[in-house]
Amino acid sequence: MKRFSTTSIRLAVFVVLLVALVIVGCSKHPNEKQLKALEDAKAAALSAEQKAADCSSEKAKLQAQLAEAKQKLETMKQEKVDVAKRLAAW
Amino acid sequence: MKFSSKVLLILTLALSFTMLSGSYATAQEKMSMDEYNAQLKDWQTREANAKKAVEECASSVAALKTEIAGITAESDKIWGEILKMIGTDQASVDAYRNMLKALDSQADGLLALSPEELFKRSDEVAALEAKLAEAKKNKISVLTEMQNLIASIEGKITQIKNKMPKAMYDNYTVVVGDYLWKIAGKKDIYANPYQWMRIYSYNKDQIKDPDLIYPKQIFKIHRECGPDEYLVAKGDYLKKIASNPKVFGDPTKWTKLYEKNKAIIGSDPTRLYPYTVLVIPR
Repeated sequence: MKRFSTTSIRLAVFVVLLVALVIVGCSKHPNEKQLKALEDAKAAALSAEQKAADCSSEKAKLQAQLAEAKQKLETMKQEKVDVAKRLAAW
Repeated sequence: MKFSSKVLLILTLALSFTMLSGSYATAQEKMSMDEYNAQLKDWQTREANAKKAVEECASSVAALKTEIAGITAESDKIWGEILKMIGTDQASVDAYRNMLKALDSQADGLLALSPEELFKRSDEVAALEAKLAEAKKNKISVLTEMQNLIASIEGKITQIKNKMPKAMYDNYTVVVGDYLWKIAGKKDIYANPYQWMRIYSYNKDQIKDPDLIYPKQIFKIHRECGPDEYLVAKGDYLKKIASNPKVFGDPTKWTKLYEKNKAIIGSDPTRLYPYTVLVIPR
C-alpha cells in the first residue's frame, strides 16, 4: 500500500510536469522577423496616411485659391466695364 | 521516504504553477499569432486605403492647379486690355499708386495737427489739394483702386479744412436810411460806430464808395478772423502786422501784405485805419 502510494505520487508528479511543459511549450507567438514585418507595415500605413493628410491640406488651399482667382476674374471683368465707362466720360 | 515524496510533489506543483503563470504573463506581453495576423491585416488595409486616397487627391490637386492657372491667365489678359485702354503700363500704374499713397500719408499727417498748426501750414494744405487735382488729370485715375484712394484723400482734405479755423460772419441787409457808421453802431452789429471800416473792408467787393450804400444790399458782418485774415488794431502798421507770427513772422514781408490789400489801404501804406480787415496772402 505504501509502495503503491509512493509510485502514485511519482506518477502524478511526472504527469503534472509533462502537462505543464506541454502547455508552456505549445504556446505560439510571432517571431522577430514577423514583428519586424508588422512594424514595417505600421510605418508604411502611417506614412501613407500622412501623405493623404498633406494632400488634403494642399487641396483645401488650392480650393481657396481657386475661389479667390474666380472672384478676381469677376472683379477684373467688372473693372474693364467700369474703366470703359469712365474713359467714355473723360 | 514518505516525507521526500510529499516534498517532491509540492515542489513539482510549485514549479508547474510558476511555469504556467510565467507563460501566461509572457503571453499577455507577447501577442498571439491571431492578434499578429489581425494587426498586420489592419495596417495593410490602412496603407492601401491611404494610398488610394493620395492617388485621388493628387488627381484633384492637378486639376485644381490647371483650373487656377487658366483663370489667372484670363485675369491677366483682361488686366492687360484695361492697361491698353488707358494707354499705360504696369510700372506707371505702380508709380501713380505710390504717389497717391504718399499724398494720403501727407493728408494723415496734416489731419493729426492741431487747428493752430494747420493754420500755420495752410499753404501745405493748398499744395496737397493742388497735387491731388493734378493727379486726377492722369487717366490712370479711372482705375477703381485709384478712384478709392483719391476719394479717401479728398475726404481727408475736407476734414482738414473743417478743422482749420474759419472766419465767422453774419449777414446784414441794408435798409433805407442806413450808412456804415450807423450800421456799425447798432447793438447787434458792433455797438461801435468807429468799426464802420470793418464793414467797409470786409465788403469791399460790393462797396465802391463807403458813403454810397443801397437798400437791400447784404453785407457780411465780420465776427472772427479766419486763417487768412487780420483785423487791424490801434497802433498797428504793416511792418508790425507782417512780423506777427500768425501773419508772416517776418517784418520784411509787409510789401506782400500791402500788395494784397492795396485796394483797401490806398496809395499810402503808412496810413492804416483801425478795424480794417486785411487779407493775408498765403
